[in-house]
Amino acid sequence: MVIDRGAGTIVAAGRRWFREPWHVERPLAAVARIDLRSRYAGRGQRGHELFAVFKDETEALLWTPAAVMMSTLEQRVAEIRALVGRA
Amino acid sequence: MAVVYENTGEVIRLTQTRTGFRVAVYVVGVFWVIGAALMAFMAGHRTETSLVCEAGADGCTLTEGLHVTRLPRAAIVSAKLVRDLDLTVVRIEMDATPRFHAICGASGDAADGQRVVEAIEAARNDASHPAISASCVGRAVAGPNLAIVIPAALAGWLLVLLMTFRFSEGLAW
Repeated sequence: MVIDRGAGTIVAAGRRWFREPWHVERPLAAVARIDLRSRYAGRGQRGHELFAVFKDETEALLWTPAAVMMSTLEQRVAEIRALVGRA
Repeated sequence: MAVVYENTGEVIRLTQTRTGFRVAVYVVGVFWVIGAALMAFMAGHRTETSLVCEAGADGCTLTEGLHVTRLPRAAIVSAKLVRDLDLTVVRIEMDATPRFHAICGASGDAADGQRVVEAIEAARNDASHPAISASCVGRAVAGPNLAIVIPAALAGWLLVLLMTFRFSEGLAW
């Protein structure tokens, strides 16, 4: 995932089991919001997924942190939201 | 799991690879396969069994459960009582054929096994020895050896915890 304020673009690419690989390149201005979605994963754990939701209601998966401290996660989400918001 | 995060103020770059996660899954999988094989191995060694030895002038007949083995007198080199893991085993050295092993009980059940050994030795040493019969019953508890299975299961569980609990990004698989 690359967010480039100079170029004004957001690029998200990845692959997952049982899903087609994806590659999304959109202007930063098309981003409506950055969503952090959490779900219970058993044994007191939570799984997180970071999405970029665009103004046309499509979305792109940016990050699925699997081993990260919550403070680090929140800090990075804040930084990404700030950069997208400044664009 | 390897994550690289860079924030220059103008550009945020975040890359994530899952290769390490797959490797961890494979490691756990291999561990459980080995554990299952160990359990099967130990269970196979601890099945309750009975051994009857009928020794006579022409050798001895060993009946182990439903399996009957005829050992000609001339082919028997020696018979010993040995320990294999935590079992007592009658080991018969043969002249031209491989050794013959018969489970004869848990460790400590040596008395019955010793009588079987003595019967075989008597038949081997003295062709004119009257026919004698001796038997022993393996009283080993059927099932896996808990001394191996419990630590193995705990170690496996610890590995799963290490994988699933989220410590920090410094834990790069």
